[in-house]
Amino acid sequence: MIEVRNVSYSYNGKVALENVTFSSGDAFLAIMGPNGSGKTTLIKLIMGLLEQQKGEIKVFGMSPKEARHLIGYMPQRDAIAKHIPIQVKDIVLMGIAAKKFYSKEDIERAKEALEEIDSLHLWNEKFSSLSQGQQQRVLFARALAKNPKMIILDEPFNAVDLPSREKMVEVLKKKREEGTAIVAVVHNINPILHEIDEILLLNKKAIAFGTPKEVLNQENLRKAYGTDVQMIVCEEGYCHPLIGDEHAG
Amino acid sequence: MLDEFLIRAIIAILLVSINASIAGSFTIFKNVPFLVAGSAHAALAGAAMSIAFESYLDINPFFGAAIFAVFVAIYAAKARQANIAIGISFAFSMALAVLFISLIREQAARVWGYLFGDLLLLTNNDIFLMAIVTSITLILFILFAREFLFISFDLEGAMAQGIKARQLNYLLLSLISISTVVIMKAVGAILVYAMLIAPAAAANRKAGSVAGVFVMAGVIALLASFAALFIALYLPFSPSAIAALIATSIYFAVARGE
Repeated sequence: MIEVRNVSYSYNGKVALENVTFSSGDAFLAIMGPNGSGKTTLIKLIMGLLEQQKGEIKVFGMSPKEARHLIGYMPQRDAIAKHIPIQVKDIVLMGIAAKKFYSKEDIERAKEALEEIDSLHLWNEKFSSLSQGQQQRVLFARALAKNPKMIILDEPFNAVDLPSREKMVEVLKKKREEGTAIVAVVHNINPILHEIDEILLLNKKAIAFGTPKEVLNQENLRKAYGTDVQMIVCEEGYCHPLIGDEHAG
Repeated sequence: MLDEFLIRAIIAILLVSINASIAGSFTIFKNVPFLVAGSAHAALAGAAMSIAFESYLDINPFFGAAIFAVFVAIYAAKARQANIAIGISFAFSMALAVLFISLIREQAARVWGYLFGDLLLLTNNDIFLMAIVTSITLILFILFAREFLFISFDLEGAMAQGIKARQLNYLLLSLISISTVVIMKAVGAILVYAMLIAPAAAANRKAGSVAGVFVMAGVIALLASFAALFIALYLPFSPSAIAALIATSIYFAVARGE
């Protein structure tokens, strides 16, 4: 579903991505790497929010801009203007379209998206008065609202309470089973490690790409983070890197 | 019978309040309050230039002001760091304004009108221009209200949704700048900041919804302006200054009450 070939990107001469190549199928893909490793730049290129400078990206066989309507996007909460007294219903409806008037079907779909994440009771609430976890749930519902073929999430679990995180992972797992492709940028892989199909370990370059068991080893993590990363192996045989702080590296 | 000056002042107050409600609220939502100060001072340069060169090119100073104000908006929308871009435009415009004023010393009072403004000194032509420009900006604000709200709330999310966010950002900032010029005509470049920002900022802290911000900002601007006009009828004070004092005092009261 996503083909990235020899993609490089720089901001005013400062390299953010260098010759990144990978191809992800209809999968749950996690993009992991230290702070400033180019994770967010990569997903912005995948969604056509940044103009490509070098290389080629195809999403569902189309250019990123052509594929936008198939993608539900959940940005980092920090990128949101939280001072606006906007109501939850208006935010979730934004995920469907920025229309003058919404149809009954639009409103039903927006309610369903909130219901999926157990947050329908927030419908009339002011976004700015919600807890961080509730705000993340609302932004997640917005990404679900148009029944996208692909969901892209940028640091979805940042500052999120445990119940909200578990609910989001549960919904992602369900969406994955229903055939929705998922791309999640995370600094802490552990909440979704057992659910994902592929990981791209990034530090400007693609350090490693493959299944979690192929990618998560000491050598690759050292290349990405520039230091040894402690790991524990769980009963299912997954290596869990202990990158517990908000932004390792 | 109401005095003609008074009728014009009342119409101007209504127009100022519409602009303070819509453009003021979007200024707060978009978090670009400095744009209002930058646009107002650029507008001053535009008005001064129109007056300085009116024997060669007959452009109404109002339009000269609007063109310069929109220039600042576009420059700010293009810039990576909007506030720095506005600050530089502010300085550049003020330098130009002083330069043009030095060329037209005998007509400098016309430029001072843009600097200080006076609700009671507006002409029929001023009111006509303010009404036309307010109507056009109001229509555009209403047409693109949801898109403007979306790009103010989450610019990248809006782009990901396929909205032409960059173009709409230019339009939104330009409309804010044009509204600045309309209010400036009534209260002057120095006090426009108070009338465009303070009511919306107070409303944004108190209102429970976006629609509530628009209504409350308009009501605050309206009450402050009418109270100021009433006071100015009996006391030798500038109504613009009183209105700005009331509007900013309401903001302080709201902020203190939280």
